[in-house]
Amino acid sequence: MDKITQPTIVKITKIINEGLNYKTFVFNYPLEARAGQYLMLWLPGEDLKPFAVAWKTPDKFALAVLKRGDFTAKLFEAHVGDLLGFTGPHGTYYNLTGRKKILLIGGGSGAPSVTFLAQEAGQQNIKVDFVLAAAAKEEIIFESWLTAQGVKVYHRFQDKKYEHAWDLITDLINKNNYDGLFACGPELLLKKIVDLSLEKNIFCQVSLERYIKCGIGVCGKCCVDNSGLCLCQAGPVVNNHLANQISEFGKYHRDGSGQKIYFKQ
Amino acid sequence: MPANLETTITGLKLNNPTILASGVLGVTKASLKNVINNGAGAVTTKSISLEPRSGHKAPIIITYEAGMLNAVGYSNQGAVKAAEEFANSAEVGAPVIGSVIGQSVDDFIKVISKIKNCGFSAIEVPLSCPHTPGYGTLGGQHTPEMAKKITDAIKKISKLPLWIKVSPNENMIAVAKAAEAGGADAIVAGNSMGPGMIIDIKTAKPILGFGMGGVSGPALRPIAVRCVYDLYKAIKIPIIGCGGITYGRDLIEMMMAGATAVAVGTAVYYRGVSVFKKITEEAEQFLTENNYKDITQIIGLAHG
Ligand SMILES: Cc1cc2nc3c(=O)[nH]c(=O)nc-3n(C[C@H](O)[C@H](O)[C@H](O)COP(=O)(O)OP(=O)(O)OC[C@H]3O[C@@H](n4cnc5c(N)ncnc54)[C@H](O)[C@@H]3O)c2cc1C
Ligand SMILES: Cc1cc2nc3c(=O)[nH]c(=O)nc-3n(C[C@H](O)[C@H](O)[C@H](O)COP(=O)(O)O)c2cc1C
Ligand code: FES
Repeated sequence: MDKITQPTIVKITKIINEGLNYKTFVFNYPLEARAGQYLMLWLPGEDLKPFAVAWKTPDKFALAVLKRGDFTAKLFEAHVGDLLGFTGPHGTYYNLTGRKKILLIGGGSGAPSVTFLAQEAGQQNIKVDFVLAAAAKEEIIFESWLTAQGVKVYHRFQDKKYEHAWDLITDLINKNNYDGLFACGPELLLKKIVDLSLEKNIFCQVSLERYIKCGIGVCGKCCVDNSGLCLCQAGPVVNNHLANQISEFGKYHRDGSGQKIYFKQ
Repeated sequence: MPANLETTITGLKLNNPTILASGVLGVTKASLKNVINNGAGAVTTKSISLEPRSGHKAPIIITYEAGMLNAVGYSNQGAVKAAEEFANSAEVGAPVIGSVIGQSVDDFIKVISKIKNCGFSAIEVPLSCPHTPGYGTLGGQHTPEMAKKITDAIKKISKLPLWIKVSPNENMIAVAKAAEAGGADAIVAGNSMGPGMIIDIKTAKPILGFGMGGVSGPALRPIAVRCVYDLYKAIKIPIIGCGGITYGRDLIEMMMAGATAVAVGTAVYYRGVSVFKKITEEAEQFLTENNYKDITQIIGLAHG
């Protein structure tokens, strides 16, 4: 019974303002994690919520957080030197094996899981194009950081001809011979990406956001229909075929009480 | 010939004695089905309250050297949505037990009437949760008076077998006897114990969102075994043993103490959802090696 899940305590070493409602929190800690995996971040005495690892170095790691509600608002009030806790890394990760030229897509609070992947891919000399999907120009984050990793960054605010991120994405996929698509962001966008990858037979993995309360496969909050798989462990990263088998994918998710919330088309 | 693992409890025939304990997975019908596919003989839903509840803040579950602490706070969809979620439960492939909670006698009655067409095989009523204000031990329900009152009221409106889930802390025998007198069909012994608390010493804060939480898993096992052993002598209705069962030997032990079936929760953390298959296989091997033909032969064997 040596399996213990309790938070590891770390000090915030740096906070970076990334733009409107986005902050990166950097910790001095040699985290063993792969791109796509997440930590359960503990604000002592408050709550605990899932966040993907946004990037890491041998002795540091970072979480990039979009302000959405109570927890993230409280986190935004934290200062350098404050103590936070985490459990994990939890869950599955992206697999770059055999990839040569890939397209990454990151949107909203999903962007950080793919920025870490861009970093991993860069270290393996894989050619990376990256679409930052955002509703507004102010929500474009990590652009210069990604460029510094040798990644070619695209977003629809560079070129007026694209009204939606999806138009830009299909254009890039049609013009380039990508051998891998990796995405995390709004689920309806992920659904389109999965459908296209299946149609074009391109290797594809997406990271899905489900309500995660324990992260260890016990509470059942993250179970998806119809298989009942726990996405806190069988996910968040799933390949296109598995995503396609999740009957609720692109349709609904659940809130903390287990009630269904339908995605707005 | 491998030993026969079938057991019958309150008229329900189970392929094997393992039942998914309430609150571990079991939030959705798909999840219950997945647990059955992984070998459970029956499954229990997450407890259902009248209104939806989002539960306590996280962490809701932490583990330590000897087991688990949880303070989930009964997060669930509420009776109306649960009735949709668990509709046609009979089709999942094994008996489904609906766990029902309330803050008053009236709540229990209302929830049961809302979920009465789900196809549940039995109703389980925990009077024993140690960490949710208004419910269980914190709601003053774990007394002989309340046990009698609640069982009486439910038996008047529901024909389903009624299982009353007791606390290993205190009052256990008196509560179980009162439930039996009220017409309960079985006793589940039992819930998590405590509550306990773990404090993070770097931040000087209790870790669980609710501060304290029920203790389950290996730490609870010997206590649960003793509870079942005591109950077996005190009551006539069958007992579902629950607390820390992780391996086949634990199931055997619990049945030798007097349980007719067992519920398994925390072990899902230690051995994954296929723990039901694993425990069953280990138990079967033991029985076969020791020349027991039928698992029911060992019920109460420790009483000599
Ligand atoms: C695997 C995974 C990785 C994530 N990585 C990041 C990340 O790198 N950066 C980032 O900014 N956000 C990330 N998120 C989302 C982040 O967990 C939520 O934005 C956060 O929990 C919102 O909490 P809140 O109290 O501020 O907002 P709330 O008002 O509580 O919720 C806002 C929205 O966030 C979602 N949410 C709330 N709690 C949870 C929860 N426990 N689990 C899943 N979703 C929840 C809800 O669907 C809700 O619509 C990730 C989520 C998952 C599942
Ligand atoms: C995470 C978790 C959630 C639980 N939720 C409930 C619940 O909703 N209703 C209930 O009657 N018991 C609940 N319990 C108690 C279990 O059903 C069981 O009685 C207890 O954990 C002891 O068994 P175990 O050691 O096999 O887990 C919960 C236990 C855990 C660990
Ligand atoms: S979040 Fe608790 S089981 Fe997945």
